[in-house]
Amino acid sequence: MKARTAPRRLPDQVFAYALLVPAFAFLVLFTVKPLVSTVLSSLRDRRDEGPTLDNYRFLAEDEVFRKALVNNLLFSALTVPVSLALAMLLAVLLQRALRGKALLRAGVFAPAILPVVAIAVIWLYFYQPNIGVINEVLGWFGITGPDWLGDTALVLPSLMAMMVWKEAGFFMIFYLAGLQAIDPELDEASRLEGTGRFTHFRRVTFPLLMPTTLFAAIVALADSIKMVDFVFVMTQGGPDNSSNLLLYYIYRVTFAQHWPQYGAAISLLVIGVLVALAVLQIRLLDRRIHYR
Amino acid sequence: MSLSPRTRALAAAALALTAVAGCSSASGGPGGDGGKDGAVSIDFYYPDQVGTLSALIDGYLKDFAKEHPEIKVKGVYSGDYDQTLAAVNTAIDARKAPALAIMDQSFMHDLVERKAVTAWNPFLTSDADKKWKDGFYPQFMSNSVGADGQVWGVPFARSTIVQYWNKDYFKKAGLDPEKPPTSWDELIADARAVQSGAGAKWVLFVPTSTGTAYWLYQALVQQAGGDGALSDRAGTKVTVNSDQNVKALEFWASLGAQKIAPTTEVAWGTSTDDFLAGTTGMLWTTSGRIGSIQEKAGFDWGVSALPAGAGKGAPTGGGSLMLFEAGVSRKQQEAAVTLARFLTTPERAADVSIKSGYIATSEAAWNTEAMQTYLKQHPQARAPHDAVADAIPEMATPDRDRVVYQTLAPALQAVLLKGADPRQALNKAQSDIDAILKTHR
Repeated sequence: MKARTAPRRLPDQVFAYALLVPAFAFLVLFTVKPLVSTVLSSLRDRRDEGPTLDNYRFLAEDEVFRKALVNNLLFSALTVPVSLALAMLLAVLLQRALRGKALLRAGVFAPAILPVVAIAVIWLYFYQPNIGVINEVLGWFGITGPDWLGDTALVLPSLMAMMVWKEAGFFMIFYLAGLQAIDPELDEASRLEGTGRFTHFRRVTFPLLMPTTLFAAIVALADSIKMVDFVFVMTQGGPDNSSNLLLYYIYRVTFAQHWPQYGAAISLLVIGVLVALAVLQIRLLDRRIHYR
Repeated sequence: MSLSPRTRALAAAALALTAVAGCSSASGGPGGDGGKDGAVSIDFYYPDQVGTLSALIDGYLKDFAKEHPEIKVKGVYSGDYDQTLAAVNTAIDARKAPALAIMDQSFMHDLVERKAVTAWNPFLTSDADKKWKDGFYPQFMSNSVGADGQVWGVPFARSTIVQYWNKDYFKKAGLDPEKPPTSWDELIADARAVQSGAGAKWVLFVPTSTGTAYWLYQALVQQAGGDGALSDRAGTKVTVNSDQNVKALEFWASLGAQKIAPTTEVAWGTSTDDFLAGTTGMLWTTSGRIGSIQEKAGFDWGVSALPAGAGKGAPTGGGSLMLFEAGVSRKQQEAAVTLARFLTTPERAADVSIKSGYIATSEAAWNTEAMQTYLKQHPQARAPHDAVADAIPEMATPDRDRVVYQTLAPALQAVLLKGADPRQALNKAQSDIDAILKTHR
């Protein structure tokens, strides 16, 4: 056998890039390319001629868009803080030694693992005015329940309640993990000092959970703007566009109305707002976060 | 062969890349012109709005394969009408449209404007072809034909609005259970009687949900003496703010004010459940629900044409067979026509009607032995057929989703659910619709 020639070696730099190629390929294929084509598409008119700014001009006068935007801002402004507060509360309660703790945790987490469409179909029947579970129960106490999804004033709050129910359990898991990371000595110290439970929570637990809160807040905000399933299954945005949310409107414009160029313009605006809000959240909360 | 770990990693990276590249090119066409023996393969999309249609069509396609081995049909169940439109739109953009699809007839103008569909006329040349085309009820053809006389749709699963009433409630209220209201005055009088005499929570459900409010509104406008079609034949002129339009909406809103109907949304999907549960004494909805009411009702019920006022008649609805362009060859279109002829024979049209509740689409289908035997056992199925005599075309415009769902429906809902002024709401809807349609003339 002949002696082998020394293996040719790639420079480290090239090797590193070679390893990154698959990741880059996916990033380009599924993120960069769609983003670029969205930008280009948004600059074309409905006959796919362009470039033009008509789509952006139309955004300013489109009443349905404005309504969906306001609905979505309301939806986010209420569901995000309430979900997080509830998640934190549940985590603190369920962290203690408690009988049936595992069962309770599983129960609270269940909505997060159910398929969203299944949740929507189940709640659709909970909310039915004449044959629904909720009004049936109210009826036992002599209360005539309202038409939850058929009333223009109640439909959005009804969807918000579902969102909080679904999200709180999910974020509870993150808070539970966050709580595990807090040194139990701090708790003991508080006890020795005779600090009240609430003061301990306010001064010790809450600040130490801030990194989790920041993460959860960004994810919850994105979730609330991505919400389309409930609307799709339960209300189709009605009545009178009272439950129309941004992503559902984008879907309708793009597919049902076959106007992908305008859909692209709305999408870009939504992405812009989402990025701006995330940056704002990080800036605002970062100052108050105690990283270790 | 022994490779250094580094070389192995590179090979893996190269493999992954090939896989990615493969994703974008691996998807083949849905079926081209060709088999070896001159066979044609076509795609056929069919929605199912009532739950019984897809099994029926699957059966027909199996029979078709036996009778026409030279045509390979790939049947694709495509959800409801709106989902079918979304699916077809995507296929059109990819230039892989199905040769044939059952589409909601009122999508016609959008599809024609985008040159997505092709007219049937060039394929109907022989006398037998023309006889087939002219055999369908003219009320169903009226909105399948464009302003220039081109035929864009062939009636398949068509329906109209009918009135269902709970005979037990009528009896309890001292009314003749065999006599449904036939005018607005009788409707209100019967409703009051049922409300006080039979203790029904609600008396009349006229669905107000976004997807269907315009359809019921068309019937009310017709009853008020207006033009219930709301749109002209080309679909580019819509009138929703005439005096009769306003009168119809005022009457609809008065049902809520008199507590005959709720002032919250009457959902299309669950209104049949409410009728079956006795929550409402009367229900206006599609004739396609006869089947499920027949199956589930625990009380005596009847079905009739809607009451009349200064005018009479309800809009038709439902799906037609349409021929597509994008990426479909002439040969495939011809195969699609053969399939359409097969699916619409009188025997099959009668079968669809009997098993799903859709209305027989031609006199020949109505006169088949199967249909006539069925009518003897189920006399209720006669009511929708009789109602077709006065039927009007369903409202259809270009940019239908924006005009109908996004502009007209919210205007109606603002009046019915939020107490807005009918004339103001309709005037605003009129100017918004005019603005949308201006771009389509």
